[in-house]
Amino acid sequence: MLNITRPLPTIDDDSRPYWESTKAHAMKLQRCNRCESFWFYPGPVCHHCGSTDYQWVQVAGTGTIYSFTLLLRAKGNPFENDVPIAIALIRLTEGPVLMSNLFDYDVDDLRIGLPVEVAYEDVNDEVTLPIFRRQVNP
Amino acid sequence: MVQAVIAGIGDSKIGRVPEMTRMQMTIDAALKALDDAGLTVHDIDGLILHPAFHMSPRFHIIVAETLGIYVKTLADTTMMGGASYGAALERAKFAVESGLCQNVLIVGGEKLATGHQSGSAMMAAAGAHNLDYEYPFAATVPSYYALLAQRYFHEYGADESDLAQIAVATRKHAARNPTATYRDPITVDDVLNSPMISTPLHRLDCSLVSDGASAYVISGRGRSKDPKREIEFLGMGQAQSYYHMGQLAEGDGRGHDLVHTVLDVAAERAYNQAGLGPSDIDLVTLYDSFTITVAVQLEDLGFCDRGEAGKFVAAGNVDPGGKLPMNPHGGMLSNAHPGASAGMLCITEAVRQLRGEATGRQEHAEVALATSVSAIASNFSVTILGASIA
Repeated sequence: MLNITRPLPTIDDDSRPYWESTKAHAMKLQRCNRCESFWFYPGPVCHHCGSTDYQWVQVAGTGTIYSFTLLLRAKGNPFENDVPIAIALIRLTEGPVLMSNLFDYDVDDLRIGLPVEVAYEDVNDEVTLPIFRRQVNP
Repeated sequence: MVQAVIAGIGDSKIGRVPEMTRMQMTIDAALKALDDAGLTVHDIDGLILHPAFHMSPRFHIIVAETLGIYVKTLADTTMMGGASYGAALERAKFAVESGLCQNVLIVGGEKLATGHQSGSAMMAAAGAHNLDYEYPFAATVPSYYALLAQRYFHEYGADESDLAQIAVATRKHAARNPTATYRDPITVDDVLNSPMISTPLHRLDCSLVSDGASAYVISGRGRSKDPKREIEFLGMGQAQSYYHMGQLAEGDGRGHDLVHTVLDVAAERAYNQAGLGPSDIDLVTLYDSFTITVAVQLEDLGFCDRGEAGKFVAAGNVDPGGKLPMNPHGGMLSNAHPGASAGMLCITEAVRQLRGEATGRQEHAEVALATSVSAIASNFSVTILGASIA
């Protein structure tokens, strides 16, 4: 896992099922029953059609890198001594794009389009973050 | 309907200013703008100020109390980060045109260089970062723009040297501004050899942090002490999209995504209102938080094709004396970036140029276009200004 001093998210009623799913190492997102889209980040209505009729569905855990950056300097932040940190925007197979970190990467992995798969970093008792590595069997 | 104009401008000392407090700088800019317009605080009946990163949402009232502006029929804080002051201009213009106000003061200032709070942790706390779904992954403002730059390279086959051209050109202008922070010429190699902050953005791709405050007074035409120095609003436009990078990346399915910003919508409104196009613009003051911010703006404003900003700049188009001089004061890359009020320097420089008062760096300027930008190149205002018709 990654040794990063992480600022922690605030868990609230809108997002609690998401954070419970990552804690269970089985990430779930909301999928709209009306238009069948997934959305991220968690919230009370479908981002695409506004419906409140949805269910929490476990995602495949796969995706591709949409963009990436290797953070080398971060003065004034809690993680300033933990650089380099690989930050990526991941397009999940289900469609939504979310930000995460890459781990177990080598420099050739830092490319747009790389197939990735999710893993889970238990930051503390409450918070588990999804992080991504190169897909082993794409 | 009253015609609104920019009647006065004021900048405090800009750069590293440890000897002044934020309030002193803010008041200094306001009083300079009033003096420039030939008005007093008693003439002001509208006030707009963005409290920026670490002041209460009531800071505009504190400024009003300090200046002695008791009665206001418009008092607002445009909480839009770096795009705030372009948005404020539009609001002030509407207020004056409609008769809601006679004279509106817009003022803002921040001490990012010598203030007691600085650094990304403070910016995160104030909403510059998305705290729940992005900051936990070590996102900083430069890394956000780095993600944008990396995607831009992928989509257009551009590279770091394309962005470096923007820093080089901006520094050419700063050489002519005696109060700019950095004035020594730089080369593309200098940019690429500067420390890497977050790939692919090097230090010289990133703006400074500075102290500064600026103000403008918006009035009806003819109210200032010298109507020949009043600046006309030719066209304005705003557009905002999103904030979380994933949401920007997903796009709207209608041509907008992370790299294709909604600046095109703001620009179209401004150009249409002005009855002008990109080829009519003599000079631009673009919000240059990063070189990539400039690249997407040059393209989405229609000055060059998408992906071609680096080549457009390398050809000398935005240089001093060029076809489209850009940021003659040296921008945020070389002159100063005083936080949320930084976009105000785009306006005050455009005004100086249009008045013919940009001593030592005067460009041909009858029509100028200024932008302000916030979030991840996702909130924009465009202001097209013209020299006085008086």
